[in-house]
Amino acid sequence: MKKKLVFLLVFVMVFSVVVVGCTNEEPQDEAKILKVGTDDAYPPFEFHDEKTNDLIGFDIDFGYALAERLGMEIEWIPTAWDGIFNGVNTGQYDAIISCTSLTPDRMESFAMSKPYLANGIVIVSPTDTEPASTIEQLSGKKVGVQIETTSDIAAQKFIADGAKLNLYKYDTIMDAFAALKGGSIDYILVDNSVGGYYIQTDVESFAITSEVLSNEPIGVTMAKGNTELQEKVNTAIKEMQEDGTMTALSMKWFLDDLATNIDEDLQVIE
Amino acid sequence: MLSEAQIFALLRGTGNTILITAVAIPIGIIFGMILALGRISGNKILQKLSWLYVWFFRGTPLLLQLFIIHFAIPLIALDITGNKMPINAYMSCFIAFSLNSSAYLAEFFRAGIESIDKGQMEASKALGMTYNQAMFHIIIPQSIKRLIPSVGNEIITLIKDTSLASTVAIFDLLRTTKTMSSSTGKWVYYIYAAAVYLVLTSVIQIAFDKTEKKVGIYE
Repeated sequence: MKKKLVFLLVFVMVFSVVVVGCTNEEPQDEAKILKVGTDDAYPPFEFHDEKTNDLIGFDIDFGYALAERLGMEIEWIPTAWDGIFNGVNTGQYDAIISCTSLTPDRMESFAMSKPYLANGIVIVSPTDTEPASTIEQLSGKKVGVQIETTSDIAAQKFIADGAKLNLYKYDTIMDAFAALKGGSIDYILVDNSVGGYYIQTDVESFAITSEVLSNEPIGVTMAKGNTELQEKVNTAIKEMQEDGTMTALSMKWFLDDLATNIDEDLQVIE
Repeated sequence: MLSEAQIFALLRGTGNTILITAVAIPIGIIFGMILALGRISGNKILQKLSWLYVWFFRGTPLLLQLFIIHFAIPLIALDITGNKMPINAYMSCFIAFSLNSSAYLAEFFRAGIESIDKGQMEASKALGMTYNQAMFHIIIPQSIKRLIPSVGNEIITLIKDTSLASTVAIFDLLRTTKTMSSSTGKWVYYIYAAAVYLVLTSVIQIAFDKTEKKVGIYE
């Protein structure tokens, strides 16, 4: 009986090794596939179509166009924003295209591309309360942000500088907007492009009520030291800005050209 | 090593984890006992209601229940009444975790009570006790020893599940360390989180082992 068991065990082990070996036998052309991490709950940059559930958005269109120009296939890897930067360091994907702002910190820790979209932080107020246009007006209020976004970093900076914000950090920006609509929080700090999109979807509930408070254009994030990919991506972005591809994409999603002549002089709050 | 600010952040996260557990477990025990008694009572309506409760709260993910309470209910209330009825993030957690653990504990309690020999109830009644007297003085005290391991189990599960609170913007222990890890690129913070969770669960485990021995001294 014992012998039979041992035999069975050995058989199972050998069998599983063979099976695992087989699945690895067809090596795919790794160099042709660009793996890209994205937080797929961030309209209008990366989210799922309500009817088809396909991954859509400005970044998604940009990603496909970029990959085509690089002569590669793109493979999207949906990842929660919280921890998205770990994946590029550990090599789970080659790049992050997920509305990622250029900041000095990120440029230090990663290979960032040239910006492909202008961006900055704004305050979103519900239409039925007093609109806030300055950070001072947020004092003592409940302010929602998405965790580890530049808005989160900026809010922490405001707090360190003495502003009395009650900060609420959500996993997705959708949760923050749901909380704002339900009244759990009073204001949201968010990228102007995202804020603009949400306001379009619910003009009655939300409004952008401040100037753009920072200049943090959006770029592609790659692992530090991956200069080969970084150079290729930069060339492709430049070409797409020159031939009108970027303008067309920006017009499609934002009804405005935010993708060319981007101010690269960062004004980051951190 | 940890900076002072990081130690405070970890302590705050641990505090939230303990707070949610400490609120949810007593409420869960009381509610769970009521549900268990309803489930085994002779009253058909009470039986059905308890069954429905357990069916829903044990059959759907805790995360979903938390989302419904924190995000959906205020929006539903807004649609119906036109007024904003915000719910505090901590309150949502207290409600969701209490309701959820009630459902699990109710089933443990029911099983514990039903495991006591029928003869005990019959004998009590033969001695002239009412159903309630027999239940509270004879049956439930005997079932307590059998319940201790499962209640300990539920508390440990709950301690670990408090990490879900991060989805409603509360910084629990796990979220605090995740943020530290992803902003520095160091994995060592996960070790701190594991150590704190182990300390918390060890306290519960040892306390319950001891209680079980003490309560069972005459068996």
